[in-house]
Amino acid sequence: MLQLNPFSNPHFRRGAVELLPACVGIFTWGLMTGVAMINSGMDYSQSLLMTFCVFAGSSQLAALPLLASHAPIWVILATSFCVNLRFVVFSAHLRNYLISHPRWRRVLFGYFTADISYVQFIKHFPTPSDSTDHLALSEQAFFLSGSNAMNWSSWMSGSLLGIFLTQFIPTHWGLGFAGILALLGISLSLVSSQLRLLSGALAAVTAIYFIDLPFNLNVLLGILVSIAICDQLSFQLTKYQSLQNQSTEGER
Amino acid sequence: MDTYYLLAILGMACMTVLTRAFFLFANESFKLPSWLDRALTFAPIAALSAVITPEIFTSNHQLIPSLWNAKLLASLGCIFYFYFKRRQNPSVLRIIVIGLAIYLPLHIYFQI
Repeated sequence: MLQLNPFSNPHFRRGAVELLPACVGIFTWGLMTGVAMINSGMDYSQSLLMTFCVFAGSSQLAALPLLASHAPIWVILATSFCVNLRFVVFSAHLRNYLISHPRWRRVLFGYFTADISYVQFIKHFPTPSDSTDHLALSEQAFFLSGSNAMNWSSWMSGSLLGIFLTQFIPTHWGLGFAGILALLGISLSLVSSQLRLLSGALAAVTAIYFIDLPFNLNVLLGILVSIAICDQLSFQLTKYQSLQNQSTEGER
Repeated sequence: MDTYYLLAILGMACMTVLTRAFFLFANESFKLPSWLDRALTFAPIAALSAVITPEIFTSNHQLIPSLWNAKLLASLGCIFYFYFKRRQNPSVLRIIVIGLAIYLPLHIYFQI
């Protein structure tokens, strides 16, 4: 299965190619994160260690002011954990897809799967395959690895460039917005039904309304409120439709 | 490198592993509640929306009161473009280019 050279695997390549259009956004986002690390007063070795080990943009950015003011380590870790809470939701979703892999590989997949590669993966495979279908399982694993490899390398090349060429990169241009635009482009392609649109709107309103919550907890709250309400709605809608079908059949 | 930075950074890396693999540690015997399993189909769109919209509509934890907001105008441009081209399924790269083409001039020259 995974022992073959991944670069020659068509599913690996497809996963990588599907992520390619979003790379500009991931790259510039990494670039601005690299610049921010150096500008916050960290040296090269600290910035490089953070880039290669932490590999989570939002938690890195949230930690920079805390590190600069020498906040207690537990505060930094609590902040990282809370800012990353949306990944806990992603891991619950990925669980159904990855559960037949050994634990070390599941954890490795989890570590390398960030926002964009997770969303592209779920978009491509809306439902997990049967755990006995080894062909489909390896196809999904290769696809996710390809997306992750593309995501990781564009993020890292951006970050490294930002770290070493800090003074040549104009921060006042607001180039980091390219990352948001990449997420926007992907989310537009996800709005395939009215219920999905409602889901996005509910998450948006909740996340903005609770903007004052600490540690970006408004994002987690937005996700939870939105998925809970939309799940109930879709459940009731299916029930209502099946009742209607029964009654029309009864009339015949 | 002083130990403070070393510990903080390695600890943060542990937080990345802990959160990204949170539900991947346990083996098959652990089951998620069934409503959550179903509800997760909405997680990608909800997560993206919850991450993006505060970036567009707020600045320093304050709602931006005006429509003269470069990020909002750029996003609206992208949404219109996507809506009219939705049959061709426009690529994310196009959305980024169009968004930046609206955002950068407004942001750099009009300071909004």
